[in-house]
Amino acid sequence: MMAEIGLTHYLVVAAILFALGVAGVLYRRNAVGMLIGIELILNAANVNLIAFARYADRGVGVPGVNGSAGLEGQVFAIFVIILAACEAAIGLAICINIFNKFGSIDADRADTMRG
Amino acid sequence: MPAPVLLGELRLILPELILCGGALFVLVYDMFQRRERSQRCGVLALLIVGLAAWDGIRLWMVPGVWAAAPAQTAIFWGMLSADPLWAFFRLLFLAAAGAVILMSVFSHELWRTRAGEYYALLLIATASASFAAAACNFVMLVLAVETLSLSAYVLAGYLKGERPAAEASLKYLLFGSVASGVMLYGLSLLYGLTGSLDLASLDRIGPENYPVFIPVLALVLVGLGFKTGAAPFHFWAPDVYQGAPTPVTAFLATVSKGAGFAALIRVVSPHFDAGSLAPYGMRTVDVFATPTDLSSLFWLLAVLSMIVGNFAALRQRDIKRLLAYSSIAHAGYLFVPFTAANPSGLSAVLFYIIVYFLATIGVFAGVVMIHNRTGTFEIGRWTGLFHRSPVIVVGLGVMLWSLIGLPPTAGFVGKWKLFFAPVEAAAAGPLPLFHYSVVFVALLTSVVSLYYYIGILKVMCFSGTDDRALRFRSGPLERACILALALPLILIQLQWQPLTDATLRALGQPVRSASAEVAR
Amino acid sequence: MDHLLFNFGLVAVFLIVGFAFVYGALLFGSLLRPRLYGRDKMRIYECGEPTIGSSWIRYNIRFYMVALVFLIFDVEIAFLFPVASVITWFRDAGLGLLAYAEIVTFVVILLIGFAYAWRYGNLDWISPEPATGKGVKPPTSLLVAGRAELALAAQRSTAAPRTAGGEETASSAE
Repeated sequence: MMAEIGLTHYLVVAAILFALGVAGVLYRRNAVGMLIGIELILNAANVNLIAFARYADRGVGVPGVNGSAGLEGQVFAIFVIILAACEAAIGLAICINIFNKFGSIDADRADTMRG
Repeated sequence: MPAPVLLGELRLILPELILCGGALFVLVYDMFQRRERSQRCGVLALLIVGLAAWDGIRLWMVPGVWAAAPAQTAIFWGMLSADPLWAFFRLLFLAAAGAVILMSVFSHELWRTRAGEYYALLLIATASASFAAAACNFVMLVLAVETLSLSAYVLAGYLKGERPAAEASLKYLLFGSVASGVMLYGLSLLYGLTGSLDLASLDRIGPENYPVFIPVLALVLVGLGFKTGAAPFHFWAPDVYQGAPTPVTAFLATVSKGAGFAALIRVVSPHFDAGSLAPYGMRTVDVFATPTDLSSLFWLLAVLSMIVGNFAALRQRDIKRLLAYSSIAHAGYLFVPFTAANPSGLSAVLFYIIVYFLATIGVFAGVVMIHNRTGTFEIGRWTGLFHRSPVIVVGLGVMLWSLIGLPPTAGFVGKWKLFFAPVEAAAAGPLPLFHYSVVFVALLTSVVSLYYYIGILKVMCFSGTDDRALRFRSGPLERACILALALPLILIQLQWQPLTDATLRALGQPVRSASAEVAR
Repeated sequence: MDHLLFNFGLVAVFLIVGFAFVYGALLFGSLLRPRLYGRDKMRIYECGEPTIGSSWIRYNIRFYMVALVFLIFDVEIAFLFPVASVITWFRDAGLGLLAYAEIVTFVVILLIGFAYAWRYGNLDWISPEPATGKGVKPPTSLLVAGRAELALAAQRSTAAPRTAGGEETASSAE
């Protein structure tokens, strides 16, 4: 029997997204792949925020919540979306720059500085 | 909120409005300039920072209350806290930004680039650093810190013709984005725990949430630790400091790092008076006689940063790379009072940030001057500098001396204050070993730092004027700049009470009268 | 709760029907059709035209430039939409002009960015000398692929008859 979709489900999805994102950043050598991993991390935060915003309003399941905080999380999520877009834009621009200089966007190739 | 109230609040952020508006103006101005005249934007940016600083001083003069009671000072629906702490950091950042812009104007590295975008980004970054120091809501905190980071990513890679610059910006972007992503994830969980994004809502954490709360706060600390350049989140620092244009490096070492500490102070300071960060953890279980609250996380950051920074700096040949490790070490020193979490520690942090800003800006100014004439960042090539331009070497010597923290300079007073906070806590609290250990590491690594700072001085003074020596003779303007930055470091050592008073005022703590200090 | 389960049941039914439709058709076809393989049959089918070059072409870098500028205005909507949904509330509270001024400020800042990109030629599709300056000739393409994909692409391009390079394909699309 399937249980009702609750806060825990969202949190688990977000945790999985977060783990995937971190793994993507760590194990990808392609800079664009790393950026995608970062997007996943940000979206994990977004899922959390929206879920908490929804369930905090109802006062379900979260200990210590005063139950009036719904909108704040949603607004924060919008800002996180903006942040993600900005990071993607600047990240792509930097990737173009890297490709021009190194002929590849393999992050491992960019290692002129050591020490 | 009625319109007059809103306008009144806009008055309180006028310096930042000037900076942002000025950034847009610089961009538009540059659009109508020919490439050769692009450097005029630097002068324009300097004027804008001056204007903002003038207004910042006026706001500093306004008597205000500190954020210990954020409800009284909150503006814009509780997003910012208009208090003396903000005014303090704003002035500090504006002064540092002015110095960085001055450096940029004279730096040969940036001569051939389009300058409008560069200065616009610097102004925006300064404004957002100032907002980070004022944020009393996590949304504002994240937005300010991220705006600062995003500007810094671009600034780090501003020399588009060079491979190290491109590499620096990529590394900075990747590390920074991951750190801020982890911080955002932590904040989203924190929001779930407290049900609010106000910084003040951290008080609502009940004992039943403690086991969850410390890991969540650790996630948040990842983002702020990255901004402050503390180990183990320091891996970006050496490469970025080396690859970025030198004025940008100076900006990262001062304003960006300072903004990280300002944000951190906002997050944890309301609980500083108890002598522990107990609301951030539980004191009941003492495993290995360490507090299981936030203090132990800070202990880890402080000790790791001091050790990693100072020992890695020992084998550096490139001056900017060495200064990167030095700045990691200084982040560690600045974390020392956070382990003690007593009020005197907080004012010590503010005091040392001023001293560190002065010395770091000074050293980077020296690096820019020497690089302009010689085109090298290699320390080994600075041999015999003393014979050619003694004033520069003496000035640099004072700054390095201050960074070591030796007596005739302000660095000594600053470090004394920093390291005294845990000693106080050890005397008063139940965990002397915890507090003394961090002081011990701090003193030990300070001795280590003596070695590499003195190494620079030794190369400059005692190595002979062989044919590898630099053909460098300083101009009067350069000498004046260096002396103007070095003299305060001596003067602060002679009379540090005004500066201490300023930090106390910023924290809303009672200012001891100067006469009482003299009598003591 | 039953309502929720019912909704998920509908989704499940759609999924099952969808999969059954696709794979059923494929299965049916594989049972009926003759199995004859030849060189011509294994070639990529592009609407009856003979294929030119590899499909692993490098996309023209200017797509990215346009994408970056697009992103700004894409995100702008995310900000303006919430404002638009409450602006009547502001009007009724007598703050309409203030809210309008805020929106205008926001859009003007964006427009300055847009003008900046325009001024330095980042929007020109044909730009032999974009804003990178210093006589550095920018490559025309950005490879969004790691080393492995690169090797794969090289393999394929040697296998297929290569009459025109990928870059020419991209620029001929102008």
